[in-house]
Amino acid sequence: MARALFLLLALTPLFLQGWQVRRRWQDPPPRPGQDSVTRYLARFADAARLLPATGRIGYLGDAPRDLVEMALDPATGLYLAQHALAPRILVPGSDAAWVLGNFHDPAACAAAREALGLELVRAFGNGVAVLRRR
Amino acid sequence: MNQGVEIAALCGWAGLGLLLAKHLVPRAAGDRLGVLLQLVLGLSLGLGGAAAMTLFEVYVLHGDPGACLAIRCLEAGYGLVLAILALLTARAAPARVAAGPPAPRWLLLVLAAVAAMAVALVVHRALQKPHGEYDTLAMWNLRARMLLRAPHAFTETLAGLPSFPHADYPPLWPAAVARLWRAAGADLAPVPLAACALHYAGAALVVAAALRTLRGGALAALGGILVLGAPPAARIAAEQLADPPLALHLAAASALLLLAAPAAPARAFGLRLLAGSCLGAAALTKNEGMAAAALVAATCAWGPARGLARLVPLGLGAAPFVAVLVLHLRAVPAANELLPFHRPGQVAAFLADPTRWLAALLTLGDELARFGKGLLVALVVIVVLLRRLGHAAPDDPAGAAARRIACALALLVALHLWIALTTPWPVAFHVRSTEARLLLQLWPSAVLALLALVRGEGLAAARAPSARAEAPA
Repeated sequence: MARALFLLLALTPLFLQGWQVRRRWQDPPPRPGQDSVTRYLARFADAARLLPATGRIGYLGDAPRDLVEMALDPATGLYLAQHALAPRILVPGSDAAWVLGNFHDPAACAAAREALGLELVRAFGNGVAVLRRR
Repeated sequence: MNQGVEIAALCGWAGLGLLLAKHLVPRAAGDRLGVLLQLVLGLSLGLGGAAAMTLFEVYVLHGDPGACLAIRCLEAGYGLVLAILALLTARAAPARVAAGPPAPRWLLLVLAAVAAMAVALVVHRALQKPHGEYDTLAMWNLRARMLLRAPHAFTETLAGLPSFPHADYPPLWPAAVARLWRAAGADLAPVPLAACALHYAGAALVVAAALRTLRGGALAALGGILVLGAPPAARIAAEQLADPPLALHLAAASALLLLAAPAAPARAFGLRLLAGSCLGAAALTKNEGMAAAALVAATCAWGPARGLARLVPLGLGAAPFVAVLVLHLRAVPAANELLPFHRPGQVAAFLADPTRWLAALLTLGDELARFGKGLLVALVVIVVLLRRLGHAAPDDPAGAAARRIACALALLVALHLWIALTTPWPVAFHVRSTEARLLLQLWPSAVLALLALVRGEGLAAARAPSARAEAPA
C-alpha cells in the first residue's frame, strides 16, 4: 500500500507535465522577435531618438489593441512605453515640455493635440507621436 | 561602466557565496548533489549580495558613478582574494555527513523526464512571452531597467507615479537583474528569463539535496519530481516574476534549518547564519517574503531548548539585507499599500461580515485544491497515510524542524487570508488573483517540510518498473 502511494505521488507529476507539453505543442509559439510585445515596443524606437535622453516626459495615450494575452487598458500602453523609453520618466498628462503621444487611432492623437494646444514635432505613422508645449 | 569590472565584481560575490557554502554546508563523501547544493546556495547568495550592494549604492550614494566604480573595483578585488582562498582550501576536508540510501534508477528516470518537460515548457513560454507577464513589464523588469540605465534617478520612480506602480515592493530581484544585465553588457530579454527559471530549478535542487542528506535518495528524487512537476511551476518560472527567486530563498532557508537541526552547535550556528541570509534575501524580494521570514524565524525560536538562541545566527545572517530593506522603505514616500486599509474600525467591519468569510474560505479552499491540479492535496494526504502505514520519519531534530517550517507555511497562508479579508477589494478576486503565486513561492519549502516527515526506506524498492536495476538500499 505504501509503495503504491509512493508510486502514485511520483508518477502523477509525470503525467500532468506530459499532458501540459502535449497541450502546448498544439499551440506553436511565434518566431523569436515576432511576439506582440516586442513588436509593440519597437514602435517607440524613432521617438526615443527624438526625445531628451533623461528627465520627465508627458504621456497621452489610449488602450493598445494588438497585444496578445495582455490587459488591453491604457495603463498597459503606459508601462510598455515606459519600458521602451527608460530612463526617461513618463508622467501622464501634458504638463512636461515634451509629450509622447501613443494612440492606436491617429485621429485621437490629433484631437488630443488640438484640445491641449500642443505642437506636433513628429508623427511616426504608427500611432506614436512626439509633441511639445507651444 | 566597464563590463569586465562588472563581471569581475559579480564573480567576487559568487566567490564569497561559494566559499561560505563550501565551508558551512555539510555533504556526504562523493555526494554530487551536495556539491550542487553548495553551488546553488553560494551563487544565489552571491547574486543577492551583489543586488543588495546595488541598492545600497542607490539609496546611500545616490548612484554616483565614481563611488559605484570604486565599489565595483573593491568587489572585483576581493573576488580575486576569494578565488585564491578557494583554490588554497579546495583540498580542505569539507563537512561530512552520512549518506542516505541512493534513489532507484526508475525514479531517477522519472525525475529526468519531468525535468526535460519542464525545460520544454519554459522554452515554449519564453518564445511566446519573451518579455514576461503584465507584472513583469509593469514592475519587476521596469525597475531593473531604471537601475541599469539611470541608477541616480531610481528613487524618483518610488514616488508613486502612475508609470511605476507598487513602488513599495521590495527591489532585490530588479537589482539582481540589473547587475546581470550590466555584466551582459545590455538589457537582453533572455537574461532575466534564464535567471528566473534557474532560480526555480535551484529550488528543486536544494529540496532534493537536503532530502538526500536527511532521508535518502528515494525521497530526494520524489522531492525534485514534485517541485519541478507541479503544473504552474514551469509557466511561472518563465514569467520573470519575483516568485521563483523567493521560492529559492525560502527553500534554501528551510533546507539549511533542517540540516542545522541535527548538527553540532558550531556547525548549526554556521548553517543558521546562512539560513538567516536566505530569509533576509526573501524579505528583500517580496512583501510575502517579509512575512515568511518573520514567521519562519518565529517558529524557529518556538521549540524545546535554546529556542531564542537559535534566533541569534538567523538575525546576524539577515542583518545586511534587512538594513537595505530599511533603506528602501525609508526612500518610499508611500506606505505599504495594504497598511492604510488596516484601520481598526474598518477591519472590524470586514471581519464581522460573514459573506466575506464565506467567500474567502471557499475561494482559498478551491485554490488549495486546484494547486498543481490537486498535487498539494495529494501530497498532504499521502504523507499522512504513509506515516500511518509505518513510514513516519524517526522523531529526530530534523523532523521537529520540518514540523516548525510546515507550521510557518500554514500560518503564511492564514495571514494571506487575513489580508484578503481586511482589505477593501472583492475578497474572492483578491484570493483568486494572488493565491497561485503565493503557493508556488511556498511549494518547494512545503515539499521539503512534508517529505522530511516520512521515512524513505522501502518505499521505492519494489514493484517499480525497473526494480532489477535498483541499487541496494
